[in-house]
Amino acid sequence: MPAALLFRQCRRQVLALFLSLLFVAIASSATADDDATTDGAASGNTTTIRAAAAEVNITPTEPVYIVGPTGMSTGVADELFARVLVIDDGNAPLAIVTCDLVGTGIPYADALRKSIEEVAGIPADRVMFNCSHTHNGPGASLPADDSDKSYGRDVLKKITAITAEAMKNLEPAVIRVGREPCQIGFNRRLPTSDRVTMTVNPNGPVVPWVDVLAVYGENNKRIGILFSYAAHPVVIHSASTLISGDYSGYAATHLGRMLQASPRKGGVMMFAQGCGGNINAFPLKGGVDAANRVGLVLAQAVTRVQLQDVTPAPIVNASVERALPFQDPLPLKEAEELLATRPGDLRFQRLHKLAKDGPSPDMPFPLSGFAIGDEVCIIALPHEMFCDYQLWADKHSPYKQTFVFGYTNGVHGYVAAKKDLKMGLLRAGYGAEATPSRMPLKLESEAIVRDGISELWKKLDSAKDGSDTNE
Amino acid sequence: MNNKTSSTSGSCRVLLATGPLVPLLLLLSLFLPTAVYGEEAADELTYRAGAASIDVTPPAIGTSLALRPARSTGVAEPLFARALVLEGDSPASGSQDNNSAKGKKVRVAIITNDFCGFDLPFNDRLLKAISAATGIPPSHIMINCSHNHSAPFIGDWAPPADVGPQPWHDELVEKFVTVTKQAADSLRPARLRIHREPTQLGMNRRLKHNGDVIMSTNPHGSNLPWTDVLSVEVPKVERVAVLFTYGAHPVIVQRASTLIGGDYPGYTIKRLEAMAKAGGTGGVFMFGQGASGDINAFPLAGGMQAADIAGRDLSYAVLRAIRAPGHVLKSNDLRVAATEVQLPLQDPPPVDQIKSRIAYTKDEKRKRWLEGLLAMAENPDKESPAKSLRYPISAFAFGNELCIVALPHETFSYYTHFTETVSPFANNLVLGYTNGVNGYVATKRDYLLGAAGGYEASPLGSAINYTTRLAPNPESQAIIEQGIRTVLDQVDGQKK
Repeated sequence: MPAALLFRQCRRQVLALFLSLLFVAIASSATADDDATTDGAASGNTTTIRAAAAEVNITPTEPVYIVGPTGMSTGVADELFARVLVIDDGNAPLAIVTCDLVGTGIPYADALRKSIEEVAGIPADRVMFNCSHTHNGPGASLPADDSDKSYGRDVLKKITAITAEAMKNLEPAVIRVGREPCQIGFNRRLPTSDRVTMTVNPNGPVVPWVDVLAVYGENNKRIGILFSYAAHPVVIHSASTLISGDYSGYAATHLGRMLQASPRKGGVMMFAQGCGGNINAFPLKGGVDAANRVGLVLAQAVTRVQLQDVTPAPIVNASVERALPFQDPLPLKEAEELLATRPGDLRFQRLHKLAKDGPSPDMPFPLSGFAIGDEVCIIALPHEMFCDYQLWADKHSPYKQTFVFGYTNGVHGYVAAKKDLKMGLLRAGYGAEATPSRMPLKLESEAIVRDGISELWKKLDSAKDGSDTNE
Repeated sequence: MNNKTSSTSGSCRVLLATGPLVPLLLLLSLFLPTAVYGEEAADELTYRAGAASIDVTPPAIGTSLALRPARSTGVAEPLFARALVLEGDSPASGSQDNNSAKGKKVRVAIITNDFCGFDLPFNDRLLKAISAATGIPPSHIMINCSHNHSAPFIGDWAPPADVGPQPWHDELVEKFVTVTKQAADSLRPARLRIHREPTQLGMNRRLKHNGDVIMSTNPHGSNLPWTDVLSVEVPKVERVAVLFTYGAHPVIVQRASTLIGGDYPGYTIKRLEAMAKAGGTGGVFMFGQGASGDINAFPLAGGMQAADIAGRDLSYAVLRAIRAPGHVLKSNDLRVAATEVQLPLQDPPPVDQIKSRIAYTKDEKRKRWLEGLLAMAENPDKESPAKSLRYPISAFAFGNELCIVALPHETFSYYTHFTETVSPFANNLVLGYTNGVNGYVATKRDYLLGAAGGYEASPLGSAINYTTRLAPNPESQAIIEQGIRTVLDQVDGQKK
């Protein structure tokens, strides 16, 4: 056969194959506002996924302290919400809770997860509790006594109640995931001649995408869309003393509005904060209008994402406990000498105080994870994780798509990367230097975090085989 | 750009070497500042410079705002034009410029302003008037528009089409002449110091989605994440001017307000001026817009407050650059080169394609533009506009140490990166929107996308006003690149 003819014939076959693959790809993908089939069980897999979502308004009714303007709120720019997505694979349900709070301590998160277990029947270790870290939202804590007059207790009850409600409303569902390029913030650590200062660093790491997990019920009903982006919600910050969910709150609102017009109306729009410890949404202190616009950009990105069906499979979970050590305080004499050189320097004052106080106990570091088959993994990290950890986890994950949440199950301050901690006590800048209550983390913290994430993957892998998942 | 750090200043060396005499010398220096300092500074004052600024705010009510149907309803911040005139020596050899004979003084003017843009004819009018009044040749003048969308565009092609010449346009020409003349009349010895500082307040706005380019943040697109800062100063005596650049559309206010204002560049300067005033230093702060046809400051339409805050961040970056040692120019040579290339324009797209686009276009304004395009496509001989687009390029070179390159129109950021790649100069400062603005100039890759090229590059793109020109041909990129190489070659002192 002449080579030219062979080439022409092969070309037709290659073209046919390409078109077939293209058809399959198009048929199995959809954007967040597309119409699509939703019968997960129709794939022939024995696992049937059921899901439900719910939301509740958690806007404080009285003035609360908000960290952005470092004072009491004077009103409400936009309402705060807590939202829950419950997914049940037939073996055990799990819940992802997101809320427009700046953060809570680990004890509060533990209490909430325990409450959900007791009332809604979802095991505490299958509950993830993510705070958006809006700087114009309050924190939540529990009062020492049994007083009912507590914002934190009120929020806990509300979240528990909507989770129980969602448990009652479970319906057959299909899960789809996708990732879309997006950027609304910049790395905020710029090295200058004497120290890292908080301003835009165009050469610093960021997580330039939004991860989306969408859940659809029967008859094209949208149950919920969970989207995650990594950046401090500080577009309002001190520009206003009003309560607001900042860009993440506006993104959820815009998304709901935009998708309202699509064939599948409704659904709960949930934002989960990623590892945005060293990323600020831009512009810091740009005001309420700017936060609204930034939210719109993020919402538009979510509507663009090409979603892929996740093959129904048992959803396994795993938990790992680690502790991150703090650096030893300076010897008192050294700290005194340092302070004598610059008595007015806040950093020197802190180092002197910490030298007098003595070593701090390690930072608790609970990790948890969910996995759906080999396709999707959600890793939940506590605290204000630097984005370097999310990028590392994304790069090394054995799963097709990995969501990495920060600010989950408790927030006790920043977890900087080794490269940042290495800059030293006086140069590392905010987020990697001493605070009034603790020294910076030791350099080996990075290895401990990475090891914890790797251990989590191992446990998730074991859990698929029916092994025990908890340490 | 590679900045070379300047050496320890002579005055510092004197102080360090004198040991116990330091307090005495410090005391003396209070009475004889120039005796200790002036001699060394004189070595660095290799150029002569003058700067001035003038309020050019158009009528507050009813002024057409850039490329928008909305008219102004007031003034949030005044608009300014600012001029920097620099004088150096004609190099011993090498200049291609007929006006720069050996040993002669060479004078250039950089005029920045808060307008959205001036079309080529209006810019020519400005160049002619300024040249006549100051004696500075038109080829030695760069007029850079910040491309601020809270200010008018002056030109025939810009919508809304019903806005023609206004009485204040004549006043504007006079003001541009006045401010340049003031700068030229105040020349005094000064040193030039250049520094590049990383910063970012904008993002590439061309995101590929479903085969089309849409306008949204593209974290992987081309960007210009820095500000170049040229300090013109007499150290420890006075600051003459600070010319700083950044490449991003000033659209943070945009449709969020109908008030006239300077968007982030205006707020940056306002903050720098306030800081300078508080610090007891003066100087004219000037913003030069980079080649940012594909970059938007963020967030689009975020409002005045957001523009102010973005301006704050840029002002901090400029301040860091001013405080950095930077690279002090040692030379006193000043070379000028200018060329004008012609970019071939595309033919109108197929009639069917235009009709199909008209069918689903809901926006009436866009529909009218497309109907104009359709008329061109159906009657190419009768309706066709110009076949090419003027593209003037100029360069000012300061010894072999710094080159300021000016590109016209809404040129894409790629051309800045290209200029930096091929330039023989250690420091390059690239301006866009200079000496005429008539729509976007994208890259070959963008034009080859055809109808999927998006707002800026598609022949169907709404950015192109079809009454004056169509999208440039993909070959335009090579023509621009050659033009840039040509002016760089002409001002490259090492080549001669």
